[in-house]
Amino acid sequence: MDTLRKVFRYVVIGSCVMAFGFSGCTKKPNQEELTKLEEARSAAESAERKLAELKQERMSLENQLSQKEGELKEHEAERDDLKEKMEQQKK
Amino acid sequence: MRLYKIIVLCCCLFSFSAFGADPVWRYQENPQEYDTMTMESYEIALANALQREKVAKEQIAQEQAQIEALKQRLLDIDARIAAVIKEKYDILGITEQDVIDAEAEIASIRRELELLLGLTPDELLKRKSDIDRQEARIAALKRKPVSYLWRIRDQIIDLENLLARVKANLPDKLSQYTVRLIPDRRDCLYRIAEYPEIYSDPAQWPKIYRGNKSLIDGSYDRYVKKVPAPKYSKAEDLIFPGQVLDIPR
Repeated sequence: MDTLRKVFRYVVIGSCVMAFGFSGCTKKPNQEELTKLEEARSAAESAERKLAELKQERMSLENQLSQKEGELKEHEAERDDLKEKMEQQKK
Repeated sequence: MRLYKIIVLCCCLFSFSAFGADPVWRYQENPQEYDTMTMESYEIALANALQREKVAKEQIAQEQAQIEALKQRLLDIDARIAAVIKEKYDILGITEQDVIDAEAEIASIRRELELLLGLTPDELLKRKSDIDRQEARIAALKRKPVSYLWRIRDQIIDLENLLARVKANLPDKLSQYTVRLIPDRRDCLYRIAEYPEIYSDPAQWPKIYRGNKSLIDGSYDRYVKKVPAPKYSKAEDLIFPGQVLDIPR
């Protein structure tokens, strides 16, 4: 009976220790550390937002450039055509 | 008895640690994360956030460099476009003002033609001189060197199409006729009715007379009063150059 009581006691104490260890006693970040994490996250998000804006701006500039290149080609073709016509008229 | 004390103590410790007072600071976005966050997961999250920021900043620097390069290329291409435009003007011997003037002229002709396009065929016929005037303006524009520019050329083509649409609205037969002074073949109602654009039938001359009775009779009365021995005995035998006769349909 004593042995059974001892075993029972160890089982209870062991269970309590395990419950204590797994739940409450695990180390958690404190408020200062969490604030730091929050700041790091918002800084990352801010940088990512800015990056997205810059990508948008770059794409818009690339479109503009593409349009201008087309415009330039058209002007050059027109200039060549005019040159040819004027030379033909002179002849 | 000791066993109970131990059990109660353990339960108290467990409750305190697991269901203790609410934390002072919570995440606004994900409060559960805080509840479950261990030191290890905190360190991973922090490292991840710092890494994200670092990568984003590196990419920002690259994007900014590319944007600067693109802006510079845009400036270069603008300068090249301006230079080519100037070359074109030099080839034609024109200035930018000539182009502006030509475009203003085109806009003015277009307005006039659009106005004419809204008229009924009969009204349009009365404004035939306006159509001719716009046609002359287009022809004058085509003679200028500025018309060689593609932009102007295309606009002139548009005007010509518009003019063709206006002309297509003109009635096939005239609704008015201005008496002409033709030395060899004097205009009279009989001959006017014979013209293809009038009736193509000289026998229909009385229609013209009936349609213009007051005009013809009035001028005949004045003629009779002025001339002592009139050559013409009937009003319908006498019409004068410049008289505008309505042609009834």
